[in-house]
Amino acid sequence: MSPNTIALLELLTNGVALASQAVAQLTATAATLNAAAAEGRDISDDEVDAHRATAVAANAALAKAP
Amino acid sequence: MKLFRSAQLACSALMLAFMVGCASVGMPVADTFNKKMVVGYDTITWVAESAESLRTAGKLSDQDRDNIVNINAEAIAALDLAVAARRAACPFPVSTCASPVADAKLAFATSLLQGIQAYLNAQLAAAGAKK
Repeated sequence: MSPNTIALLELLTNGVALASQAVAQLTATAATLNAAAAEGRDISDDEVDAHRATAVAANAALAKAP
Repeated sequence: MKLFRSAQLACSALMLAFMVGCASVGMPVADTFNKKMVVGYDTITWVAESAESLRTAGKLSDQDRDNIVNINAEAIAALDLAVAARRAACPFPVSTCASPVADAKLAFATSLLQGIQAYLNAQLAAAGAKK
């Protein structure tokens, strides 16, 4: 297998991983919005705070990533 | 390695555009303030997790990582200000309660997230110029 082929495979693998991650995050966000819509209500302040905590934790993890 | 870096940055920029423009890809419309807050915070989560993946794969420099962390922190702070302004103006959660100040701060936070996209695009262009 040539270096270029290996590079292409690695590129595709990383791209797919990122795309999967994006879809997972989109799905999670959509689930939150859909759950509220199905119940005919708005997102509560507590739910907003929970999503904020997740964002803060993710950014802190990125800051500490080796 | 430059090829990987360029491709990863392109991927990041495209995915961020994908996330910021989520309404166009089937995401339920965020038609209330709190829904927009959830989308905003989740966008930051996604950017941070994607950047961490790139970091783990050795595709993100210390400086790139630090810049993304800082912009994310600013976006979180801007969203926090929007939430605080909203809750001060609308002590009782009512979707129809208007708060121009909160809306303005939300717009600013959105501009920061778009700034991350511009930053990644600039990095991509710089990586391409070095080839």
